Amino acid sequence: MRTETTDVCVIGSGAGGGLIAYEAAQRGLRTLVVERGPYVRGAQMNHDELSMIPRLYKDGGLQLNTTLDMFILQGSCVGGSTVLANYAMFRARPEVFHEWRRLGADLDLDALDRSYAKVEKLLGTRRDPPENVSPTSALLMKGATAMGLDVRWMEKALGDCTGCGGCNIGCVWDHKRSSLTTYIPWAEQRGARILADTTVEKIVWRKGQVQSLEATSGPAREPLRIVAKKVVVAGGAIGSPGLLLKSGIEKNVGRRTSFNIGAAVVAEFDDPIDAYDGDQMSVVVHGDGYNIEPVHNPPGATSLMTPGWFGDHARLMSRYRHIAFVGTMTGSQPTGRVVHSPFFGHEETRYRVSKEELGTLRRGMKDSARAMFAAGARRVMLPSHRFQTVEDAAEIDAVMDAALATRKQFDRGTSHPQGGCAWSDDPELGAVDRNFAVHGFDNLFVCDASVFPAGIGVNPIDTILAVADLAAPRILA
Amino acid sequence: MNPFGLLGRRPANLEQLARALLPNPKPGRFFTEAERRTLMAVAEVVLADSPVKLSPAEVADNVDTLLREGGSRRAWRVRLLYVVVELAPVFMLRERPFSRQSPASRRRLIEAHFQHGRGVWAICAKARHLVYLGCYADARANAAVGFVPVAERERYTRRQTAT
Repeated sequence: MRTETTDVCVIGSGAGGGLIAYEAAQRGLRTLVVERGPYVRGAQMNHDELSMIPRLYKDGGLQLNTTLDMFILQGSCVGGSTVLANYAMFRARPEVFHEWRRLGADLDLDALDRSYAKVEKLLGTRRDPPENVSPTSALLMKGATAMGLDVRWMEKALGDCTGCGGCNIGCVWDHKRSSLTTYIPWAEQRGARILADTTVEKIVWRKGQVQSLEATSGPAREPLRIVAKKVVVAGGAIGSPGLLLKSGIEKNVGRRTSFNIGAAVVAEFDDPIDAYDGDQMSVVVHGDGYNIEPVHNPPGATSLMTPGWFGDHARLMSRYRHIAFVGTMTGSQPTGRVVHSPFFGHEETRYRVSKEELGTLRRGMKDSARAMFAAGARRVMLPSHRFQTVEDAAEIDAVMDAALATRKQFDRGTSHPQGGCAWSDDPELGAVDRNFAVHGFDNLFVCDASVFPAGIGVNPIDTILAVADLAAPRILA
Repeated sequence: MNPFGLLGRRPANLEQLARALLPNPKPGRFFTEAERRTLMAVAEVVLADSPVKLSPAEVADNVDTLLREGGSRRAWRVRLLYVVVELAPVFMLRERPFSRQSPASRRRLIEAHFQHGRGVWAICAKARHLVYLGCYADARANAAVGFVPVAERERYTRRQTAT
């Protein structure tokens, strides 16, 4: 069996893993990044959904919760979910960190602000230039403004974006400031090595010390042993707890998982709007417990979000140029759980949306429908299993209250799982301590969205990066 | 089916058991012929009104490629899903297997059970998602729905000219 020896082994190459790898390499440490997915550079990408979805998405985009009513979309490639993200850079609200503090994660907010500012500057965060604002974003801005809603331009980290609208299947131009184009190559330039197509199967440990990692590499799944002085698990909020649980590290692991759960309404306009042309999301409406964001996609992904069967579905797809998708996203309570399923041989995610969360989601969808009517929509379709159209803004409350009343009436999705290896200085409450070390371990750390003790309710990339920036000196000291 | 695999080595989990019990597809294929037949039978009725004129076989080819290249640990469940779709009418309704029914019967079955059903029927309803993806993610669907590929858009050509 081949053995790799290194100072720091980072498992996962997304927002958290990429930044830690870069910081480790910059400190002159021998750094090895292990990534389960392939190394796909922009030049190897294309705009074909059929070829990019299986290459870039975890489990080919087939990851669902155990009740099969929520898609969980994550990246599985070098750069992780950052490759697929829209790179909306939101700072979490201060109340979020007060809640974190209550749960034992005492964050220095001034230091966090400095970290936010540092990563935002490094990635060149800015608003979309006007020519890249998609028709859906422009319509949402117009409608939400008319409604008096709190609508703002997003800060994005898309570099010299072309505005193709294909962010969720990578970036063929390498413009997006994902880990694939920033921290990972920066780490490589400083000597870090990337092992793509390599899965860490198990952490071998004894008395609070990681001794080695058992991995398999390449299509033939050749066995590989990795010996590292420090191991940083950064496989995301599902993968990180999954690996720890599989390795028998269980205390408070897989608990307190939360999500930004989302669902979208479809607005239909009389004239073609060509919603696909431009950045997928440039504006956000902040509501009471929810955010509203445009989520228009190329035809393949659109067909999955389009409600209805037979003629209803076909009619909407034939009106592709006339429709706009507007999503509502709300942060869930940390009631989810990641478990290692012996039946399936891998991690599974348990989460059931609560009545309160459904209510918040419904309120957001009502506001998004109202905003679209205010922007001139002819009708709005709901994401319900039973095809449901709202023909007039006056009907919104009655129709939505009936059609979206229970969790079984419509499916939801998330790209933002958080928690599962929650940070709490109290070992009875959390899985990692203030140094991001797993409680009871000297050389095993976690650094990704899984350390969030509670969900932040907004797109999390900015916060994952800022927390990783804070964590780096503690982990690598 | 590969029952002899079970004799030599005890399956460690449900995935290995399913892999051992599900029939082996032909080399280079994700689905077996029977599973593919069910998928095509779903596509034939679900996409009957679609503006995209791809044959059920072409849609099935796309879905097969998608799942084969995805290498998902969960993909075997998709095979199981189409087995369930095929056999649910037999066990739940004492009817013929899904793909052996006429298109009109299959449509009635979907309308009566898949669309608003619970339990097994709700699971069967998920069979349409991959069919949609296999159809609308195909580049041949672009013109039918009015999607202009990036390279043909004004913004792209303008930018190319500028650089």
